[in-house]
Amino acid sequence: MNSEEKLIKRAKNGDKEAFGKLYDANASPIYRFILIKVGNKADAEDLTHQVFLNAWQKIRGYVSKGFPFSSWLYRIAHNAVIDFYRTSRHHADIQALPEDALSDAPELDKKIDDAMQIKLVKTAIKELDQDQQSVIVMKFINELSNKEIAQALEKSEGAVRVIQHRALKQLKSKIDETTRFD
Amino acid sequence: MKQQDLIKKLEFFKKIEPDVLFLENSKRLIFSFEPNRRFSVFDVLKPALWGSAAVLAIAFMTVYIIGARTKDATAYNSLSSEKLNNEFKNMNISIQLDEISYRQSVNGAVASALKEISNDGTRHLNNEVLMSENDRAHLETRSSGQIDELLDTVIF
Repeated sequence: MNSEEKLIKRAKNGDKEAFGKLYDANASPIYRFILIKVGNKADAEDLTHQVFLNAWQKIRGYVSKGFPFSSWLYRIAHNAVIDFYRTSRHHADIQALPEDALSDAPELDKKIDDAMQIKLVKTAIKELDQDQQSVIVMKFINELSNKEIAQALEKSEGAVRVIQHRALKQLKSKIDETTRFD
Repeated sequence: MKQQDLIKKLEFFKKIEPDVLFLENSKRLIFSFEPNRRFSVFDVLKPALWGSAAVLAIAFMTVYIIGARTKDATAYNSLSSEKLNNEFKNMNISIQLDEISYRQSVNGAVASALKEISNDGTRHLNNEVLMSENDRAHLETRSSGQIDELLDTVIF
């Protein structure tokens, strides 16, 4: 039994410290995943909190099945974002990324250029469908394997590869289209 | 933009991190809740058992109430004024008839007794009187032995 499985076992018995460690290990990638999809910091925080609250309340029913705990969290997060878009809440336009997400390049021009491109990418991501967004974020930003993504989205690995291919193609197309008119 | 450039741009988003204060507050709020109890077969059985018990209790109460009311209905029916009146009427008639019959038999006996009392002769059918007269007749035979001998002579 690896360390994560031990923590899960303790958390299932109501051990808050154990779940706290699982929280610390997964909060950042889940938050990142949600922020890129919803584009709003306040909403991303609310949803991230909901995801972990949900996980804590249902931890006793969690069954490992050989996949990382994060796969289960991503599934909850993916569904939470879908539900979020189903509500009548107005979703704010993409806000500026936190400053620490900007380029580390010392030159100001480069920094501005990078910021603009990142904003473009983020806008383009928002125009993908939910599955495509999830695959892009999980694969290229949070560095999950196709197997883990498949488990999180309850799809086959083949389906994940197809979604990934189409998502990248669409992203590139949208960015090029925007850049052409600049 | 080339795909490789795009992927590189995507990697830029790895730097995004949540606020530390948000994480602390979120964790504290989460642990103010308790995890739900794990589902077990008893979670299904328990409400089913309670439901069955409630249904049985309701059924028992229903049968009891209906049964009690049935008895009450019988007693109530017996208290119906119409039926009571009929019973009363029938009762009066039967009482009267019985009384008449009794009175008749008593009167007859009294009349018979009076007649016997007033009649000096021994010609009557009342056994008690006959027996009492028999006693008196025996008393009288002591003093009328001679008459008997004379009667015997005449008859035989």
